[in-house]
Amino acid sequence: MIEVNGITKYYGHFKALDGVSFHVDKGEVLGFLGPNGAGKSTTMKILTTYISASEGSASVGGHDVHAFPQQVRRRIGYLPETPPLYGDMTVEDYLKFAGRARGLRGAELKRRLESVVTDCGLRPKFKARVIELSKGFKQRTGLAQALIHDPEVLILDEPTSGLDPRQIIEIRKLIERLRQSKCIIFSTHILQEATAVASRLVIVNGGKKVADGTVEQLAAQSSDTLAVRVLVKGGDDALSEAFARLETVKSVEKQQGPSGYTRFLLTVGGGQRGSRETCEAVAVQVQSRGFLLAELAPEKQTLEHIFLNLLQKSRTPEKPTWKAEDKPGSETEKETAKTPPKFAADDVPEDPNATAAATRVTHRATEADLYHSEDASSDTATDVGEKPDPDKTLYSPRPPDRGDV
Amino acid sequence: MLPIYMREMKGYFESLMGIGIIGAFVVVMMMLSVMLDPLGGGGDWFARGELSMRTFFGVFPWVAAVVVPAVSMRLWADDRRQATFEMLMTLPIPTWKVALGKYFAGVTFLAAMLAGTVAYPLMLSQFGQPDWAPVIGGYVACFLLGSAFVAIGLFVSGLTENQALAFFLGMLICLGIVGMGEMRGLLGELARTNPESALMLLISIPLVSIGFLAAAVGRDKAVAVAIGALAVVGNMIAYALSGAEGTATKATNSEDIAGTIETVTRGTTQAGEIVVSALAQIAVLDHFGEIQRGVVNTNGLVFFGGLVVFFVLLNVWSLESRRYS
Repeated sequence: MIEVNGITKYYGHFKALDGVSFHVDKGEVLGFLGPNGAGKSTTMKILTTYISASEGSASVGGHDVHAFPQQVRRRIGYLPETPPLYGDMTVEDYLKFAGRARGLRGAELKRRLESVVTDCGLRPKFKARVIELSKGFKQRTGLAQALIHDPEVLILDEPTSGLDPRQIIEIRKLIERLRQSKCIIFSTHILQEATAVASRLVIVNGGKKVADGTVEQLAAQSSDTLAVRVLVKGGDDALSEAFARLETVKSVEKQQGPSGYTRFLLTVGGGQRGSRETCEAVAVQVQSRGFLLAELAPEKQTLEHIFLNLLQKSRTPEKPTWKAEDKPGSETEKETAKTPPKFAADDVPEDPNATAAATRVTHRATEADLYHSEDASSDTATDVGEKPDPDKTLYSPRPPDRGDV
Repeated sequence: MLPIYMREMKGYFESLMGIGIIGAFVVVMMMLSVMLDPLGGGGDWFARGELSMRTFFGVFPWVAAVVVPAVSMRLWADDRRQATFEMLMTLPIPTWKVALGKYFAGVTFLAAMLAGTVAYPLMLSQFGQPDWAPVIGGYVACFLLGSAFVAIGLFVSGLTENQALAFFLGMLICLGIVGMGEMRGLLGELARTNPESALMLLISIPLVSIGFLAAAVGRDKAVAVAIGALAVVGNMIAYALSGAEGTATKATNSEDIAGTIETVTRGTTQAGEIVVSALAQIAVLDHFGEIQRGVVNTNGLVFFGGLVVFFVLLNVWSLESRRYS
């Protein structure tokens, strides 16, 4: 349904998109991921014919976006980043306008109006003026506008931004319902969002495509180094050494736990399987030495983790690995040595020590550094052997890691 | 086109702004018509028992040059400010149809404004037997001129997301067009006494306009600044030349140079006159006056129609060019 071939877009001298290619088939929901300013909206604006690409071609339903914009526009429903609403109209009038503007008349318009009002849950505010709506209802009205002509292709630019969790789930359900008959692209910088509904992900960063595939495929492409957190009642250096001797364990750090407890942070190789084996071995070791295992928290390959790894790999051809003395959560983590992507703080998981740690990224400091602190990265720049000047490290391969184990 | 037109009409009449503008326009027009009437003069007309529509139609171009941009300023700028612009530009409706939908909404509003002032001739008809033909002719002229102003306002509104800026730019252009006829006499006088600066002025006005268009439509600041600078420098040189001319002739006392200067002067004088007479062709008020007198000739219709087509096309062009910037 959607073919994008090497599109590049310059805004003046700024290259917002750099040879991005992908395709989306009918029945597919493509999650378009990337940090803010990665080129997500630009790609969508090109697909909707709002702007033209400087180079490359794109087509929707077999129609080229540059040569046959009218054909393309007839096939797409588009929800821009901010919903395109006229505040002085009622929801009813606005949706009627949107329908008429797309050529719907009479009974058909009425039928489609009924349908989108039900689908988007707009019944309670049908007669309200748009300006009086809450953000959630505004977003839904914008979505209804994109759906009113029952388009084959749906392009949604951050459809859930600014919505509360309940509304987000509603929008997800709606996308889920629509997916059979349509081809949907939606962009987001919230990763849970993408895993929840997308059948496939395209990740862009700095105008370039970084990755394209299902979540599983992306996980395989990403780093295979994970972390396991262990809390033991008692515990001593001998135990620490025993952990270090395990085949899968790359490094161990012993930390002070709550009184009477010792915390170990293990860095393990071998991906999810290595992590599982480590957990089993750790449990055996702890018990055989007469200690009590209080907590065993393997870090899952969360999408955040995959995402960050892929973003970093897009800048450095080598796979980032941890140094022996490094551990997740430490400020000297090597991954932080690279350019911090410009992220919104909201995307950072709030509490790494929560009970759901296993399903979250557990090294908050790492990400916090990545997101915010260029100073922090320069502190740790010794690992990568060059100053983490964002402009320099962004496109140039860095020298081999000297501290690799 | 119709859905866009209906949407814009809603925009005008569902807010108080539309009603407010019509009310203000009617009041201002009637007040000015009475106050500025040379026959009446601030209430005297009761005593003299004479009052005509002449002043009404006389002040209309000036009032319209201020009020019509206020009407048209929101047509695109309001969308540009919101995301609805993105929606309009991705609807399966060609941009020219969207622009025409908006234009006709503006023209309809103008018609409503003019309709509001019909109270004035009706009031006059209570005092005597007016000759209705010139009144109708006058209204047709007002409508045509106003339609051209709506097109100008539509174009300017598409250039910015700031309604106030759209208003001031639109007003500037409309006032400039109305004033051009008035400037003709002045320029003619200038062309006789100081041909170089008159010529430079006449060349620099289109130059500055082109610079403005380059900046607005093509978003090419470099071209705009270069052309603007050229116009300013040209004017300064012309000014310096006209001042230095006499002294230069005396100082050199050379027949050759004096002869050259004279030739150049004669040449520029002629060129100045040509440009002045060309400017006379685009004197809006002449066409306005002709139609008002009932002389609805093709000249006038083509003139106003041309203005409308030109600015609507310019509007579409400037919006379409955004896609490629």
